[in-house]
Order: sequence, then structure tokens, then C-alpha cells
Amino acid sequence: MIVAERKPFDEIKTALAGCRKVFILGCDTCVSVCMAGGKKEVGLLASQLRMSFKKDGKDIQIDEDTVERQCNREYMELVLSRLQDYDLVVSMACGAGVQLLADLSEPLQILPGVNTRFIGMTPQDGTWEERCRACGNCILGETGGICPVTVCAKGILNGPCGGTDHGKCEVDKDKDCAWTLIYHRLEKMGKLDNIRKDFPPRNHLVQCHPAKQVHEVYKGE
Amino acid sequence: MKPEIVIYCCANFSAVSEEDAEKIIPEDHAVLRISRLPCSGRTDVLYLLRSIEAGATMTMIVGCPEGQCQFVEGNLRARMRVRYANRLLAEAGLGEDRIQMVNIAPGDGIAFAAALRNVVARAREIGPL
Ligand code: SF4
Ligand code: SF4
Repeated sequence: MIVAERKPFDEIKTALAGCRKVFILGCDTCVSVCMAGGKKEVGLLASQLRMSFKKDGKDIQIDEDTVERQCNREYMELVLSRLQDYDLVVSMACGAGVQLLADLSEPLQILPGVNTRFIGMTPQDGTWEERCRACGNCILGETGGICPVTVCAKGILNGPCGGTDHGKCEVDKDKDCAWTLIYHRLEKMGKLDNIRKDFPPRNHLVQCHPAKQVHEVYKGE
Repeated sequence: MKPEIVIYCCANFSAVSEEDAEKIIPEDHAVLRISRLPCSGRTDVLYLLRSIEAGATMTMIVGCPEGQCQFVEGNLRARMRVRYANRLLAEAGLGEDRIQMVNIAPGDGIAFAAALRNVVARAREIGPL
């Protein structure tokens, strides 16, 4: 999933100066799971802002709602008509969700309420770790399910490098060497021969930006 | 002005009622609202912020002593949520002690009375939002 963290309160509050009516729109998918921009976090930010503006003696209306997925047109269409009267909409979705909101609600003012950080997983409650760089050519099947592109500090495909040190990485002694992890995982899988494989250089052509894909069924004749 | 205090009590404090609390704090000193939770660990940061936004001067969460939670770590989670909620209030410019967690053994009315008096005294100092 996409992992994000909420922007600092002061940054959001400052950006709202001069508004009379503000809408905070959450996304109940990825950013909800990473506790940055789901229904609850929208409620917390809205409550903080209402209290803070009240304390400053400012009369700014803050309303809130959360859609299932902000990166998906169908869900956004359910809420768009309600946004028209607002001076600004704070989107708590990842960058993709913010951009769909901006496209669909043009020329409404929008503000991202979170900083989008990475594609990650949840090793334990409340913790998220980056595990995929969306390289476009997944080799997890060869590397025991551990991504060297992401977990290795140098992203090398034919590791380990000469800096591996008793299972730790020379770039940061607190970090595990990705290729040592891969070695031990392959050993447990009975696929240690994979470590001898020579991976060709990564094909960066599959990673041109902005990437786009269309499902076959949706392509014209 | 009488401060309003919202008190979230763990179910083990089921004996504490608004009438009991009013015997400790006379009615004309504060408005006390008691809400019972199955465990202090059911405390949600959103409840805490919304009670202050809705007009409470302070919120008090009553949980069992650490190490004695029936659900093992409910009161420890409540403590972390209280810390986070106070941080969010501080960001909004409301100070960082409007929400207070107290750990009291069920049935210890003397400790409850002392904690409640402290919270009411602090609420009278800081005043509502
Ligand atoms: S808008 Fe972003 S956070 Fe929300 S579902 Fe889509 S990808 Fe996930
Ligand atoms: S190799 Fe790594 S970065 Fe590439 S798709 Fe697989 S997990 Fe993602």
C-alpha cells in the first residue's frame, strides 16, 4: 500500500489563512491503514483546526468527509457536487488521490494534507516499512521474496557488495544487508543456487514517467 | 464559570456515578459527565479531542493501575493515546494537559476523589476553550 504521513499542523493551518469555508476530504484505503488520512485522521485534523481557529477568534467553517478511494473516479463522483461551495479542499489522500481531486474539481483550490512517502507493508502495528520501488520488472521470485532494489542501500542486483559486514550494511550499521538476508532466505528455500545467477542491468525503460497502462479489454480495436 | 469535565471510566469503576462524583465536587463547582468504557483501552483519540471541542474544559480517563488491566495492556494503550491527544491539542494551541489519565485501583474512592479534585482545580485555572 501507499504510505503517507500527515503534514505538520502549522503548515496546513497557515495555508488556510484567508479561507472562510474549508472541506477536508479523506481516503479510506491506503492512507487510512497507515493512520495518516482516513476517516479518523480527517476527524482529528478537522477538530484541531476548528478549536485552533476558535481560539484565534476566526470564524472559518471546517467540514469533513471521507471517500472509499480518492484515486478512483467512481468514488469521487459521489462527493464532487458537495465541494463546489468551498474556498479550499484539503485532500488527505496520497499524491495520486490529490491529483484526481484537482482534475475533477477544477478550478477548485486544493491542498495536500499528507506527504506521500513510499509503497510499504506493516511488519507490526503502527510501523510501516518501504518494500517496493515499483521498478516495473519484479525479481522477487529469484531473490527469495526480498527486494534488493528497495532493501539494499545501493539497490544492486548482484550482491552482496564488498561492504557487507556480518549481516549489516556498510552504509548504515543498524541496517541489515539485503543480500545477506536474501542468501539466508534462499538457503532455507533450498534455492541457494540463485545467488550465482547473473542479473542483467535493470531495464530503466520500463520505468519511464509518468507511467501509464491500459488493460487489454479497454484498448480499442 | 463552572468547568465541564468529561470522565471516561473503565468498567471496573462501575460503582462510580455522577451522584457519587457530585458528593466529591459540589454541583456548583463543576459539571461532571461520566461515560463508561469496557476498558480504558477503548479510549479513542477522536473521543478525547471531540469532548474538548464540544465544550469540556478537561477530560479525565480512569484506568486500573498499570499491570492490573483485565485486558492486559488496555490502560497502557490509553496512556499512549492520552499523550498523543494532548500533543494534538498543544499543536492547536490549547496547552498540553487538558486530558489526564489516572490509574486507580477499583474501589479506591479516596484516590478517585483526590484525582477528581486535582482535575477540577486545574480546569478552573485554565478555563474552557
Ligand atoms: S487515493 Fe491514494 S491512498 Fe487513497 S486508495 Fe488511492 S492510492 Fe490509496
Ligand atoms: S523488484 Fe522490488 S522494486 Fe521491483 S517490483 Fe519487485 S518488489 Fe518492487
